[in-house]
Amino acid sequence: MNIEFKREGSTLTAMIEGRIDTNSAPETEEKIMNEIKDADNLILDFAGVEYISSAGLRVLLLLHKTMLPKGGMKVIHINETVQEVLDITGFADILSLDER
Amino acid sequence: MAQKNYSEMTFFQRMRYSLGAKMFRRIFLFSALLSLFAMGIAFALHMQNIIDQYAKLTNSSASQAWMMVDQEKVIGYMDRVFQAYKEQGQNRSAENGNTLVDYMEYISATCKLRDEEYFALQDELDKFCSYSEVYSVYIAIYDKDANHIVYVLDSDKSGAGMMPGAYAIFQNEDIDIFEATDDMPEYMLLRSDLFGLVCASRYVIRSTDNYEYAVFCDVDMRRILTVSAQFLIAFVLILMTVSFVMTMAFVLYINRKVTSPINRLAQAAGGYSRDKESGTLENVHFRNLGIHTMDEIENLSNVLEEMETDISEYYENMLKAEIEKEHLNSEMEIAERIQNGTLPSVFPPFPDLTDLIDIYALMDPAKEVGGDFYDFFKIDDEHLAVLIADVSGKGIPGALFMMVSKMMIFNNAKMIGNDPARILEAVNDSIMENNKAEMFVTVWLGILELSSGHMICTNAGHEYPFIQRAGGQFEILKDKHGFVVGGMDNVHYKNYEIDLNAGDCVFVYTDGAPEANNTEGKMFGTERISEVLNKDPERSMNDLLKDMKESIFAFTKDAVQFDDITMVGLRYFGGSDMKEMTITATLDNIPAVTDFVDEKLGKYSFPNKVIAQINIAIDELFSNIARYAYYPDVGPATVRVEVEKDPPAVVITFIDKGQPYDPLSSKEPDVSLSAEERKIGGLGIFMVRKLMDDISYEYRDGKNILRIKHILKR
Repeated sequence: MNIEFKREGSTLTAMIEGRIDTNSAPETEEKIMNEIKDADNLILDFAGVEYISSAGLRVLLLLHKTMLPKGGMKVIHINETVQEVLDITGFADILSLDER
Repeated sequence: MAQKNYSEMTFFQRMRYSLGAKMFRRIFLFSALLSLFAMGIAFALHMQNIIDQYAKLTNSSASQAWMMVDQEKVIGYMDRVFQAYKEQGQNRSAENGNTLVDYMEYISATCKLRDEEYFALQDELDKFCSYSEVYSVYIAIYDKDANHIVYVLDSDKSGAGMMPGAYAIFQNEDIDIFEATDDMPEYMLLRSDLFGLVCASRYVIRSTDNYEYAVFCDVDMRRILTVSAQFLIAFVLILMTVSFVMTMAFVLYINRKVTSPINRLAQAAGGYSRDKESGTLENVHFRNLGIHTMDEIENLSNVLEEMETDISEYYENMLKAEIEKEHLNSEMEIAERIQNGTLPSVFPPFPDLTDLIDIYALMDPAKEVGGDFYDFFKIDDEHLAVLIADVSGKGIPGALFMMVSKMMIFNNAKMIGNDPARILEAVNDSIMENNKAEMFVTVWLGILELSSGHMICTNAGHEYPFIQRAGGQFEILKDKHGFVVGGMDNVHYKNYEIDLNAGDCVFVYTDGAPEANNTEGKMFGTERISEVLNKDPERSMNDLLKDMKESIFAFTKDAVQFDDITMVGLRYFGGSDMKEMTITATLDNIPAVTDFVDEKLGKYSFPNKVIAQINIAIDELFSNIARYAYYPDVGPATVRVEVEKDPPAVVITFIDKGQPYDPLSSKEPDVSLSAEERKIGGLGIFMVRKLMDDISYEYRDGKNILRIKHILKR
């Protein structure tokens, strides 16, 4: 699991690579939470994410709740598998997604 | 005190206890007693004879003396002495007892009777005594009333001779009469301090009621008796010496003829047993003894010699038999090795098929070489033959027949191919052509098509097989039995079919398993076989068969096993590809499990999406096990991956031995809630349910078994 950050003004983009699962979720959470203090908008670029498990969903939900009072969070470049998981779990209805 | 054995005795003890010494003592004692007894009788007879002789001598001497003397004169003296004696006797009674003075006066009066003629008579009698060898002759009167002997004329002229008129009580305490016929016997043997031992006789001249005139004659017996006694002693000594010498000679003879041969026989026997112990095998102990006594001893010696030869021959024969037996034993061992060598014993037998089948076999012969056998071999690349058989016989005959049957089944299977019934028919025909021993064999034969799991089987009088369908229980399959192979001509067998799917299992066995007896005579039975099989139907064939064997022996305990116990287990993975790993259930090990599964699935080039979905499922389920199953400890978990072909599917089974927990029982989360209301708990299982086509949970034998299936869309 690897994360790269990119800032454009108050918008923080986190480019995540690998699996967000039981083992990598805590690290993902910690790294992103450290970066978003002065960001108003968060963009999670899932182009490199293979799949996400319920542990990863927990992180997504946490980040979503953290960003909600501010500018919000957006997840982009999700693949088919992640899309399916988000659809099944109803996360697709909560999060704002951008397929492309 | 324990009596010592003769062979342990010292020289002196042997002198005492030996046969010769005992015989010597007894014979000598006996002969001594016998000779003393004979001596006693002889001496008594001899004495009687002597006394008789001397009685006659004295008697005739007395009468001769009377014939010789001038009888008138003598009677005259006698009358005068008797007259004086009577007078003296009257005085005696008148004055109440006489005194010595009176007696002396009386004797001096009677002594005056001795005139010239009296002395001449005395001389005459003395001479008579001298030449007739009698001790003394005297003429006296016997007073019967007073029991007095009144002397008249004594041949003895010395001072010891009796004066005329002298009298004495005839029978007094000093005189022992040895021989007497009546009060005044004609002759008598008497002993007195005064005269010694004397034989006396009398010749009666005149006899009245009150007195007797008689001539007495005495013979001194002392000398005669002394001579006799001396003779007796000498005779006894001689007899003793002779009997001693005779006994010695006899004992020496016995020694030479009996004791010594017996000792030599004993020595030979001792040497014989010593040599036998040390392994010497020469028949020389009794042969060269040279006992020729022509009696029972020689017979004994001969018999012992024969016995020695016989025993040696017997011993040699026995040694030969022993060697032959050892030879036979080693041949038996070789036979056992050959027999074992013909049965597949390296497991897994088909290393290239481990993804397809798990096969294991076990045989426990009751004797060294058994009559049971099993076999599995590939008929061709697609077909695997599996068989188990029980020959009607044990030991060498059973083993030989087993080898023949096994070869025939193998050869016919190779020739005929995928038709078990025809294979057994061909084998039956071959055996029946030349079955002199009337042996037969029961066979269960199945031929499995490796790619499809389609199995064609036939049963020739063999036990029912057990079948387990994947995830289910072992159940007995009451298949149709044909007749035994080798029982009769032209037997026909019927095939039947079993379709094995992934995880299905076949278990076959010989009657040794259900009929294994315990000490109470109870049989193990198919019920118990079923119980053991279903204790854990999922275990490997190796574990299952070993468990079965242990269960059977735990049941029979100390009872003697009298039939071979043989079994074969086959699990088919049904074209599915199976692999499993067991790993400690921790969160850190999730990547290892994921990698294992991914690698396993890698060769199938499944779409990435499928792999990702499976990985999500692994992450959810394995993390659950890691967190909760053994909490607060950690424990192992087994992950099994199977790939099925038709329809193509991936099956993953998670097995742990933690606390029972059914994840499927949790409530489905509400996925329509807003972000603020959402909870993560229960979401993982929910995702797995949705991502997989099938999910099932089972708690069995202390194990949580969770199985997920992902069917691939074509």
